Amino acid sequence: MTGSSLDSEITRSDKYSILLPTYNERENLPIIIWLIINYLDGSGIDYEVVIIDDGSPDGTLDVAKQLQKIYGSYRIVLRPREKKLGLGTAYIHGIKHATGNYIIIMDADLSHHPKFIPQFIEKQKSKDYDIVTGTRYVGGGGVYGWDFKRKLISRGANFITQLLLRPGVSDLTGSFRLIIQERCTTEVG
Amino acid sequence: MIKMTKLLEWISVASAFFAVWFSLVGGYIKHPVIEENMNFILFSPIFIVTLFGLYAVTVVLYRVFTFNNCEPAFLELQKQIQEANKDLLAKGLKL
Repeated sequence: MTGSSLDSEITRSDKYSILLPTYNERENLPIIIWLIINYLDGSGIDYEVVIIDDGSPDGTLDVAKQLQKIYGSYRIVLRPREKKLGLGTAYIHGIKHATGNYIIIMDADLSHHPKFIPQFIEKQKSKDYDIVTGTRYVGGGGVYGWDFKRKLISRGANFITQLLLRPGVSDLTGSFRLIIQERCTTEVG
Repeated sequence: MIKMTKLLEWISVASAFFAVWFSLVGGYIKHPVIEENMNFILFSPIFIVTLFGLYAVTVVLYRVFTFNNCEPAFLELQKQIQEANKDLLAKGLKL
């Protein structure tokens, strides 16, 4: 995919807020930020990275502050919380403070590669989807370094949820997603 | 049609099945074919569950063994991590 074809489809005012909830990610955070910046700068995509650190004892927030100094406070936004309050409320906290009209959630531990973000954006634009979500279970999706037990639990749990709920989504528990800010504010208040 | 919850869907399908099953087993419908196959009809819920269980185990195991292992992605990321660390060090990041 070329930057220019994507660029023509993105409205000038579109902005993507990438939410990165962190807890003890002092080593991974610089890498994920570096990857995001390298893949998105010069792509014509306007974005910010919102780091939501839940009071990590390992000093993740210090690293985040350094990254903000390096890359600027437009790109790197810090929305830390005092203590470990959980992933769900971290997303809500991030959505509330995001300045973008689109929200991207992803893991900071390098489970999700930022190189896919332009594909998420293109997919969403193609039919004005409410949500675009990454998957480990079909197509090019996958995992690395999982043992048999972990794969079995993952596949087993996925089979059961697919059977019981038939959600029309192959991966319900993955957390690499693109959503639309105004379409989720009613849900999160 | 009113949109049913998934729970309601499951309950209605199960109720429909057991209504038919019970009417056959309970002798509410009489027919020689039913009587000849009574043993099969009687245990059909167990057969169905067992067969489905075998199907489920097969599918899950097949998917476990064909779970995409992203080796190239891992190698690419390893290289990028080194690159990132070098670049960030040059930009003044202190870990």
